[in-house]
Amino acid sequence: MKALQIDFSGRSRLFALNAADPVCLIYVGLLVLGIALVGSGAAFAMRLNTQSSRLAKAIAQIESTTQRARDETAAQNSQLSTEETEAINAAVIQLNYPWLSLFKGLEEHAKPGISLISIETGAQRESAKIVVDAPGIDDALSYVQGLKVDPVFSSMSLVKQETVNLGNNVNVMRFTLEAPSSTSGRSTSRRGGS
Amino acid sequence: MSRWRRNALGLGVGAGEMAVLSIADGTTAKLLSHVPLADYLPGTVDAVTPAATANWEPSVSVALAQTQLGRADLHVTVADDLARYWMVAPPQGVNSLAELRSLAENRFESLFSDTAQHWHIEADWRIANGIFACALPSSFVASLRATSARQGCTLKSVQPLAVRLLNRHAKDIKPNAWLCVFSARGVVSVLVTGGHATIVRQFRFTTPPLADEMLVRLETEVLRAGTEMPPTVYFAGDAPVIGTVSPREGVELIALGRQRVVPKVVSGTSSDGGIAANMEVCRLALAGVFA
Repeated sequence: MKALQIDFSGRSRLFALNAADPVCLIYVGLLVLGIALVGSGAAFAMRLNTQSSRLAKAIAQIESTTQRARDETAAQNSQLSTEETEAINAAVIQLNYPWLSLFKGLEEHAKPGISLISIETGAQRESAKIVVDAPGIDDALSYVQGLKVDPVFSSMSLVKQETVNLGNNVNVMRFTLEAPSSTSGRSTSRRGGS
Repeated sequence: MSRWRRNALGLGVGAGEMAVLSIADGTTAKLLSHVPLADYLPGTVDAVTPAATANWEPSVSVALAQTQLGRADLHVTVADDLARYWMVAPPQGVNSLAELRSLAENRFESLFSDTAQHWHIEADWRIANGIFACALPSSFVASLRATSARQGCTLKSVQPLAVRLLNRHAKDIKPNAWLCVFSARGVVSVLVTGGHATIVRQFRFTTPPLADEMLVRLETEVLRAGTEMPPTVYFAGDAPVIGTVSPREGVELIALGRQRVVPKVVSGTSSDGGIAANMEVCRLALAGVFA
């Protein structure tokens, strides 16, 4: 039969057990195992904590190195080379081409019989190529002289002249004029500034 | 003795006296102190109810003070004359230990027509179908705990004789049997069914019953409970006239602990030439330490 768990000593059942009792030995074994587990757990936690702080330090070091390298790269990037500066300047010049002044000047100097065929920029947009048709060479020269009075077209030059047959025995003189933008742009800006 | 092993002392508390013994070796026990209760608890000898309301502090203090306990382990065995036993059948729906305790107290009061406030009740609360409960005088238990704590010894166990012997022989007891624990003035009979105590009865007598008379009592209890007589009856304690020859066919009588070597009790005090304590209380004291 099973033993009765009756005792008036007031002691806990665990401590009331006989040391020779296998149940007591199991309790003690579990207790020792528990203590060992807690101890090893604490040691493991301490080791993890040490490793964690070491890793945190390493990460901070890597981050600072990376940040320093990033800063150096940024500093290097901020100093542009001569070619880059020239390219940027060229782009700025192209963007700043005085198209409005050019169109306004062409409108102002429009003459009867002179037909504006096309306006196109150069490959680098440093100049504007203007193609006009005129009934004769005198009309064309008069037109160019009139344009040259305007500071926007002061550097303009006649680069090509040809006779174009429009059909039905109608021939016109076709002139190709070139207006460099650099000087005209600067003069435009100067004029705008005054 | 090993420095790690504490000295084990046994305190036996009988109806008329208490004594403290220590095991000197396997064959000898020393009587360290002996206190006649009549000097400290007048009117309590052979009267259980006054013992429950008496002040046990002086007698317990004197008995333990004479022994120089120190770091000893103290095992106390109380005669069944001072204990009360009963069974509690917990009804359905009991959910807490407090309810079980309350049930045990109510059962105690209805069985013994006595208030439970002077009694310290302990029970094996694990058994679901029937709870084996017993009680000792509260004053006695409190005095033991306070005195042992004051004197620095460890109160290892306090058990009435029937519980101590039942636990000692539990492994030898078959699942269905009667166990009868005899003392000088009575017997505690426990019916074991399916490995659990199901009935407990306390009989008092002036002269120990014969085997046949004892079996009649057990058969009567079995009839009252509406169950069957188990095939084995164990006897433990002081049962001198109960032999192992069964007067009933089909009922086996087995005496427990007879083959054990009981140590000889000698006086542990130089001034005391003889053994003052009677053997009943010495056996009670030995029951706690001589496993």
